Amino acid sequence: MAIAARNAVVLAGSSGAIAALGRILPKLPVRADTAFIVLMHLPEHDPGTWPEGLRRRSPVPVVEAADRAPASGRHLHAAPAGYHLLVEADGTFALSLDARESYVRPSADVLLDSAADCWRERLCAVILSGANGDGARALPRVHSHGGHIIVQEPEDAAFRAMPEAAIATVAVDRVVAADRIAGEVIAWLP
Amino acid sequence: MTEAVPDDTAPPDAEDVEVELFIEALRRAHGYDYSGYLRASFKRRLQALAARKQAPDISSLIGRMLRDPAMLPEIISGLSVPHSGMFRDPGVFARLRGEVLPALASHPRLTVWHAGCAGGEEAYSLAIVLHELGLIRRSRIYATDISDGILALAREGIYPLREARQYAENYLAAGGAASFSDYMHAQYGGIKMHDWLRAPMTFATHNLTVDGVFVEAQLVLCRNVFIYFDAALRRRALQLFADSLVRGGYLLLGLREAVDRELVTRWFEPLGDGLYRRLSS
Repeated sequence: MAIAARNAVVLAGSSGAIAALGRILPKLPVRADTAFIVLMHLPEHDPGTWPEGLRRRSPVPVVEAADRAPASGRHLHAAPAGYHLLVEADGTFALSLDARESYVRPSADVLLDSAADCWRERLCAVILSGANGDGARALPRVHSHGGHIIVQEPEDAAFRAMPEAAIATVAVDRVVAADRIAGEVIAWLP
Repeated sequence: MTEAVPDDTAPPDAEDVEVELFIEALRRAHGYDYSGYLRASFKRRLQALAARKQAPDISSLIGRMLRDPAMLPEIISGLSVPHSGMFRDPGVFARLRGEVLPALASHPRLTVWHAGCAGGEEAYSLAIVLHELGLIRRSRIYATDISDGILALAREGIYPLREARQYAENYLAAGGAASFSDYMHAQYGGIKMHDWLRAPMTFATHNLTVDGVFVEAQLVLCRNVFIYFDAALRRRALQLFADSLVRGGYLLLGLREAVDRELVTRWFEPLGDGLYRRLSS
């Protein structure tokens, strides 16, 4: 039975973020001690096929973040469309159909709040391109728990609202172009 | 050691302690036991409830709850997830229409238990399918929920207008034989489901954490309720559903809800999409 990884990297984005992921995923490391979790805003009725597109680009094996499954290392866990994704204190995933937040479900605010509680200083939040401010409201919690925050440079993002909201909310650790994000994640990992 | 449960040595946050105290206070003062609920989303709902009540933190919400019993209904509905959606996961409703309900049509009476019916969206969806299959007159839907306040909403059958287009699309994708607009009318900026759809429905409070079997059913729907439950509470509810279902009856859970396979196959044959058939032995 797999258990949850010691470190977690949450990559969250909206419009334009799939393109950014295409520049990040190929360079991510496969590590037993690190779970990658990716959350994108998608049409809520996606039947579960959206992670297929990630599979072609990611050396880290892609799985759907499943109800009660641990956020295990060596995997990239993709948030299913239409549900909020949360992490319990023991590093297992939970889904919810609570109301949309910032007009979206899944919401990065919801995921990051719970992931910050779970991993604290062993969480790295990566905020990518997007046309709304989702994610920014959770960043103070990520920051106060000692987590690391990397934001895609607004000039590099197809839609700059989400990175700009993140930067405006809290002192983020790195603001870099998508091409450099994987390197920054690797540098942060212990 | 390359893998470890994250953060297993850190002292708990004050707020996490408050969540546990709240659960204990609610149980002792009012008998509602939320200890089997997964904490991350529960905590979020509790924070939202505290904010709505202008309580500076969960501790002060506990104090007010203990001294003001009139707050209880609002607390219970605040801890519930009020809305699902009509014909959510259309493929599943297509299976109800094409596979499950025809198999059950030989029963002279059709009894459905819809556990955790929330705002009633799926109860009305089911009533529409029963109507189109000609089964509604000999059907009874027991729609239950832990919250009286939520049941009052379900009884009204009024939903936001902005959802109507999605509901209509889902209805067609689920194999709807007519038009979704035949079943509703626009009213006060919302849509109201026609009263006759409610004729087969009985609304009642039922708490899956403590209450027992109350009906013998051919079909149990309990979709997207287990996602809030821990393993022990899922086990309890699953046993309850197994005990409530006739042999050959069906259980429908949500599309993405995990159940212990060894446990579920004791009573059920898994048919995919959250659908299970009660074994005869």
